[in-house]
Amino acid sequence: MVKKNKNSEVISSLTNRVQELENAHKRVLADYQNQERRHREQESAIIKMASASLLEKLLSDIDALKMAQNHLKDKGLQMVIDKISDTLRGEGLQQIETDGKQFDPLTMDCTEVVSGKKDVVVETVSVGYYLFDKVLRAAKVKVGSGT
Amino acid sequence: MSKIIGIDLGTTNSAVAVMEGGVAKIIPTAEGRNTFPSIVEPIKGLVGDVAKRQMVLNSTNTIFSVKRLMGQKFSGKQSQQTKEIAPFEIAEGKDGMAIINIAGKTYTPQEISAKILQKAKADAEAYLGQPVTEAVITVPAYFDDSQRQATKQAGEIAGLNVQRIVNEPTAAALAYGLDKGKNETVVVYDLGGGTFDVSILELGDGVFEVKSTNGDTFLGGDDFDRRVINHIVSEFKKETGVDLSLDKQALQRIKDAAEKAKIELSSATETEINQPFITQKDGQPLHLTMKISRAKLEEIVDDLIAKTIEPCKKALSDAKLEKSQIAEIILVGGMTRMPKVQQVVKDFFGKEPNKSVNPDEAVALGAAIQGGVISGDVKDILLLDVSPLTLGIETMGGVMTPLIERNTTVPSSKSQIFSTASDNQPQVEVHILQGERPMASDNKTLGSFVLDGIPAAPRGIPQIEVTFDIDANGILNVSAKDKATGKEQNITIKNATNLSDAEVEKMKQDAQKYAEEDKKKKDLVDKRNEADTLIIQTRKVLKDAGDKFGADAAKEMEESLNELEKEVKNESATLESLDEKLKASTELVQKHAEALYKAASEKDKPEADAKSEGEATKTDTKTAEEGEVVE
Repeated sequence: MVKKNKNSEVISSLTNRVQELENAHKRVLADYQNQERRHREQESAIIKMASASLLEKLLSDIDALKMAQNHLKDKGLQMVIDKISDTLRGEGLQQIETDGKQFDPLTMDCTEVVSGKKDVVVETVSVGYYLFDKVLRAAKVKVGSGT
Repeated sequence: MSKIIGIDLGTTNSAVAVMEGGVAKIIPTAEGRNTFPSIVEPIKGLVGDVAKRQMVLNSTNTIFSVKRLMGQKFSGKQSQQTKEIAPFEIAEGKDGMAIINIAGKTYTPQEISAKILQKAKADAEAYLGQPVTEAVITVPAYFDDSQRQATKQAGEIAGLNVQRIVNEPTAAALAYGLDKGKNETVVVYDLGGGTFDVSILELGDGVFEVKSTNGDTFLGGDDFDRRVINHIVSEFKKETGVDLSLDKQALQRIKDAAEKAKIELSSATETEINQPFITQKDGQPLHLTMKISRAKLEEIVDDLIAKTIEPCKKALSDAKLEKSQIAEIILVGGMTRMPKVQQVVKDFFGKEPNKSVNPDEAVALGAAIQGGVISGDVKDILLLDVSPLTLGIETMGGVMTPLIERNTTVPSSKSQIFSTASDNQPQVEVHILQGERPMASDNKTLGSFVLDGIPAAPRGIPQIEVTFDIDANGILNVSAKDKATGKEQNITIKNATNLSDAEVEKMKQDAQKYAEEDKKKKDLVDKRNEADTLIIQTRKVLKDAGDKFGADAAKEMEESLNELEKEVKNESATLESLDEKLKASTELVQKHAEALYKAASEKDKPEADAKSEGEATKTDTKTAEEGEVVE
């Protein structure tokens, strides 16, 4: 009698253990499958966005060139800037339209409020860019205060 | 059960993490970053970076640092201090609690925090691809009951069932894996974007007890940034007489540059700030170029860092502990990346602080681990081992051919087909090796066995499948099977992963040390094997169809092969001498073969199609790997 009791105890503890392990196993499998799915999804995105960090760094250098051009107004320099812009466009970079547009925090970063039509971009301080369908860098803009 | 996410609901930045595959992982935000600003614009429902971008335009409607108001009375010191710096309106609400008035609407701090948590939830759902309803949220150790209650309510408003509110230092200790250790006392030094906290924890049997906490609720990375900006502005003024602080656009650029410089100076000892065309003077453009050394930065923020020491002293004395009783100091918060901060902490506690976990992510990771413990994810997670060194077998010329590469997570198994090295070879020896060196003799032998009874066949024809199977306990089973006869042999090697750290380290170092020498040796063997193959194949062709070449050509080739063979067997042959002979022979063989084909194709042009088909089947038979098993 005593022995039997002990046996059933062992069996129930083992059953619990099996169940626990089964759950753990399922969980790991689920994690793995999710990981696989995400990997597939990310793969193409990663390839597409691989140049993002380099492009982002280049953008600040292009800003500097544009600032120089604002001052120098040199035809040759303008050609250089246009050429670089063309190249970047080929890599999937697209300028965010800002001037005269309604301010949109999804694509623009307001750095200053100035007099002008309310919530409308008065001046673009630095151009923003999409890389394919993602905002690579928000445009920095001055926005009208309505006065 | 759905996943329980861990949320670090911070004063300036928040982060989310989850347990996956037995480890805590940060969930990237929709914007692709690991943390997001704890900033909310409730009218339009903007949270994070998006809310931050419209802050200047919409400052009275944009709420930041809402954590400072959680569960606080309006009349309290914390609320009043926050009121001073906040452009949004803080007022007195029900039961004297602090509330926020925006565009005629009233928001409790819980509702605003809920917006942050909602973003965390949405990002997690997008990442996991499943609904998320359960969360663990962290709070500072000094939060009282009403503050904790408020945080829990925020979670509920966001549609999250808050499984537990965890102290931030406890979460950090979990992320550092300190729960597995012995009973000890640790210090958590957390210097974030806007607040500084120091906590002393006592760990034992998986229980974390906060012994004391202290800090400065208005000290953080933002103060450091401001110092750097002021320095740049004043230096520029000294140089040019122009005050950039009056120019909002210039100031914005300096702000970005200052933060970048601060971060760079954590790894470099000097950085250059370079902002061309920053402003104009008398119609001429002015450029900002300035070098800042790490020493200079340290000088500028010296008193800020020093301010963190007093709270450390107080925390120690409150816990009635001596510095010597502290077993470990762990660093949390982005500012602790600064070497000077680490130095000051080290000097004060007299011990090197532990900085092995990303300080921006530690709290969220710890919260996720806590979530994993609750859901049972952590309890039974098998800690999977990796194979510390490469496992492989010896192949022709004494080369080590790897089957299971170093750092492969076990259990794992891999098969590869090998073949014989000479004609009519009746048996192969499978010599199992462990190590990183390309030559078999330089690696450790784990065992070997012989598979015999291979039917007589030309070299390269028999297919011998060698399988390595290593289980979770590091037991390696190697088998070799002749695919033609089905005959199989195997060996079991225990403790294939069980090497001491020192052994592994030595083997890795040796591999590095002898890398060049080893490569030369291996190249020589490869060349010998290549020459061997040419000799055997050409002789076979000569034997089968030698007469077609003509006696002179056959003789010429045989002589060239003899010479090559002599060089292959010459112990002191070099890579160059072998290569020279091999090239000569190859060219000669090719020349004659070409002539033969040309003659043949001219003779039977109409049959050309049939011939190419025949050739295709011929190449098919050569599926076995080149690296044959040694005799």
